[in-house]
Amino acid sequence: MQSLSDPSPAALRILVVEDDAQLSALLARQLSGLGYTVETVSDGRAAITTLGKAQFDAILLDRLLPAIEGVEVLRRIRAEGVETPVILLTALGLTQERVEGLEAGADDYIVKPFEIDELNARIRAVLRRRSAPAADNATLTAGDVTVSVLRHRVTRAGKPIELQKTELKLLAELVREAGSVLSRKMLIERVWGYDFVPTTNIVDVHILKLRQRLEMPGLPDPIATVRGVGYMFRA
Amino acid sequence: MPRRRLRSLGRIAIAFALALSATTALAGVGVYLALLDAIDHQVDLRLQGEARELLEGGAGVPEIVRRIARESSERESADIGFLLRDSLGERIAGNIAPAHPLPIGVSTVTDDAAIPGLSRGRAWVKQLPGGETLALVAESEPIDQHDHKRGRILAIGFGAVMTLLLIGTFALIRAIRINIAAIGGTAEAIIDGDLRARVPVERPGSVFGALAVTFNRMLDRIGELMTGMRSISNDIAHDLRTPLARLHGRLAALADMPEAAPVREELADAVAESEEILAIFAAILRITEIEGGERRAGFERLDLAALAADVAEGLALLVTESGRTFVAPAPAVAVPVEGDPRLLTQLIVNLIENAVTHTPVGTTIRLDVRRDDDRALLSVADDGPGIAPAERDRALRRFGRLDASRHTRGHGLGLPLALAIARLHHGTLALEDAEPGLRVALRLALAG
Repeated sequence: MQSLSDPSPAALRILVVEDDAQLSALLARQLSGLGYTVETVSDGRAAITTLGKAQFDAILLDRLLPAIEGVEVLRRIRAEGVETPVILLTALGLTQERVEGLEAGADDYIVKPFEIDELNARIRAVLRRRSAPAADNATLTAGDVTVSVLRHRVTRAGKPIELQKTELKLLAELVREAGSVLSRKMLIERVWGYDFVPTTNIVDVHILKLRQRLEMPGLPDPIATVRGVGYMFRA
Repeated sequence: MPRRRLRSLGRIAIAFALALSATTALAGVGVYLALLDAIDHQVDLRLQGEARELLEGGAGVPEIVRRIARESSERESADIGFLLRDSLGERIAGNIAPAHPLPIGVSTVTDDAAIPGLSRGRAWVKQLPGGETLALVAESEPIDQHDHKRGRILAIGFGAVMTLLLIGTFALIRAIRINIAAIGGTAEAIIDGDLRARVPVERPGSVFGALAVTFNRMLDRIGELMTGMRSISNDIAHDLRTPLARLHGRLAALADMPEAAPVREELADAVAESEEILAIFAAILRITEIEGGERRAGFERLDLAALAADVAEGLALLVTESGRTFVAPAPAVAVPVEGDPRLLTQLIVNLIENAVTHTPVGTTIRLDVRRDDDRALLSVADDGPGIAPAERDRALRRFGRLDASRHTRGHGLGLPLALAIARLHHGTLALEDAEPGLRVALRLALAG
């Protein structure tokens, strides 16, 4: 899986704050495998010290840490002016925790267990959001597809395409982040607004429909399936 | 529920008041009769004594007449009426003239005898050897118009006692009602999931105070047990989910390695299996979180009809692509409720997913939201095989999935989760017969 428009991960430094040594090592290995430069610490105090000395592009912060809790670490570093994107890692995923985390200044929240590709997609998303805040109302364009959310209008190669509301929201999300992988969970959160994972394959059903609607003779499928993770709109 | 108890308290008070009135009245009558009896006896003795004086020494008629005249004028016997008649009934001497003849012996005289100044008295009558009759009459009332006055005294006294009794009873009922309501309110709050609710204790020394303290100690104990159970589930979540997450991550990483090509399918199955276990954890934790009741803090006023329409929009394709027909009429009127929009969304999604998972292809699934009297009614009905009435309870229990074969998808926690969400909203979730098929009905209070 390679993101076409994202910068090379090699230049990106990630701090992992996780007290479970095995999970921490696994994460470091997997993230390094994706090309990131990874540093790990095992408690909140060390995290605060490390952040005082070095710059990172993203922080993965476990919520349950010895000594200082993850959310407390987050509050302290935000209070000290550290604006690095933070993704909270949690074993529970209760809504209460999610709200607390986001209020304390987290950029995203991922519930253990997660696949490394899911995490990668979310890291990419928070980095992108930091560098180019989403322009919600603009007309979105990627390749030969144009989506106007406000006017509920979609064209491919200049020809209008009829879409249902949910299909349009899904396409808009893919086009907005064209060239990046969006996981099924991310799409569930953003398009359907659910804070839970449905037991049915709701995303795949809609992608299938979207592909049928966008299909035109002689033109390639604009949506790529990223196995085990989700989907990407070809830029 | 407390109202019925209070009505029985009222009944106890009324029964008590009636019993007390009856006892008091009976005692009053008894005392009255005993008093009259004692006075009669006293008067009889006095009349006998007076008669003995009149007849002393076997006095003849002229002597008796003389003595009557003397006694009538003496101060201590002036209130006694005397009458001496001859054998023909003609009056010889005396100071009274009763309207009817008085019987021989002792008897009671009433105002029928028309003796001036006497409303109730005693008579002592004796036939003398010469055929004459001597009658002596005296008042037997302690005071004039005794019965009338006594009646008034009784009425005032009785009224005062009853008033005090009623005030006391109502004060008691009020005290009981306030204390029962305090305990009842606390119990209701606990049932609703606010495990920190306690009965206010004003005077720990009083009976109700002691009861409240005991009740609160019981709640503390239950709270400790609940905290223990919840921390166990948190511990399970943390201690089991973390290694599971590692296992899952390793399996997924393994599946991605080029060397894994020959067993890739097997590894994908293993990954899916571990995902299913983790989904069960997620659902259990979700139910635990909902049952804790904390999410009520995030309740807001929302239109259930609009929310359902949104969910229907997002799921319509899923239902139709699965080969089932989806009917979700556009909402005609707003159905306002107080609730958590995310949880109500999950409830509706669960019901629709449940209908899709457990019905055959070709089934029609119908989502309706409307006002039903003073309640909001949301229902998801299908015309599939339905659930037998006897098995409906089990379907709402955790892991109570009806098809034991476990070949159908899902973890069997969809309906229990929906039930927990309904309860959090003080609502009900019922499995009903859609004739044919199953209808799951959520009923919530309408927001005012």
